[in-house]
Amino acid sequence: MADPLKQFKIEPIVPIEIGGIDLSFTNSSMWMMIAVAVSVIFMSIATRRPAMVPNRIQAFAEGMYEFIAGMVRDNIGSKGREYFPMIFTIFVVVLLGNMLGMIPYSFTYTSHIAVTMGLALAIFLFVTILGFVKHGTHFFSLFCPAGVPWALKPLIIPIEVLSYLIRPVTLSVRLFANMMAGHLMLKVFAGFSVLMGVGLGLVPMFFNVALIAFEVLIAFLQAYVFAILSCIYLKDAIELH
Amino acid sequence: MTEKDPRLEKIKADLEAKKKVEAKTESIHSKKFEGTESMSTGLRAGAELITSILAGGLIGYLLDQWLSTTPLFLIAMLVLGVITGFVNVWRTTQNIGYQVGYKDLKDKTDNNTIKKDG
Repeated sequence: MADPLKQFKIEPIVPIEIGGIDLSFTNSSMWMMIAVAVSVIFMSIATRRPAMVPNRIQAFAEGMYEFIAGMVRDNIGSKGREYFPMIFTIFVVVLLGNMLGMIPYSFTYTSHIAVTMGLALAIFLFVTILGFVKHGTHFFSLFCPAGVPWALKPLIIPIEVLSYLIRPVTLSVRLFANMMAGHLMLKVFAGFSVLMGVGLGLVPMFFNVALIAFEVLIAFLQAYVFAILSCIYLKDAIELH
Repeated sequence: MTEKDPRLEKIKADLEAKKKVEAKTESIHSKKFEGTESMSTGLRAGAELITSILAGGLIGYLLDQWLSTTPLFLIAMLVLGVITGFVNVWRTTQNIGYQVGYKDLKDKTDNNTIKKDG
């Protein structure tokens, strides 16, 4: 049986080392490049000849745009319009990372915590700096919610501070754990098929068919959750309550 | 005001009909995303609970290492992490999302439905 963890192994394609730091171009970087290329080419084709009655590609791109625009509008409000490009980019990066990982023999870069943590920390730092730029030290009132009785404040404030600090952790661990667990499960069930042979091995195979459909759903949902949480965090920084 | 303009009446009736159709499409639209919404909420809740506890423990452990007060901060932060995890899960189920603070909740449910036992 093939090692189910082998699919997560990072292999350097072009080894580069600068000043003792490994900066190799790996299979992970390659699939990130592919994601960038796919999104740029797709969007260019979709918006090349905009028609009043859109063709399929244009309708798909517009649907995606409206999905994220609606998300930003619902969660941040009209003030969030200037952050739409950021949310859209985050959504596309995560979605393509998850979806390209569903192709056999590909590499899922979102199944590595280094990648998801990098994304989540970037969002976290951006939101925190934005909050301080917009509100100054008044930003700390985020940790002391209005309408809490005095007696509860020593308990509520540490809870709020901790919930704020763990945001990048939850954001990244959720995405990485879901993607890794899903791909691991697929591989393990595929391994069962190989072990059980032609007759009985069909059972895990059919199970795998259902699992792949489920994985596609999870791939979309995780991108959705990642984007919507970025929206919610941004909202906190933009308008304090 | 008492006499009725037939033109206005017609516009009003048209508007009502249009509103009805709009409400119907709206409900269909929202139903389509209902499953996605509730599933994403479920996915969020689990991760929130686990990472809160782990992160609390980790912060406590690091503080202990730094101040050499083992195991004071580990225990305190672990307890805090557990409380935070449960509060955040509770917050998700109250449908107020992940916003820090309770003012929105108070505004939304201005009568007795609010429970402030967090």
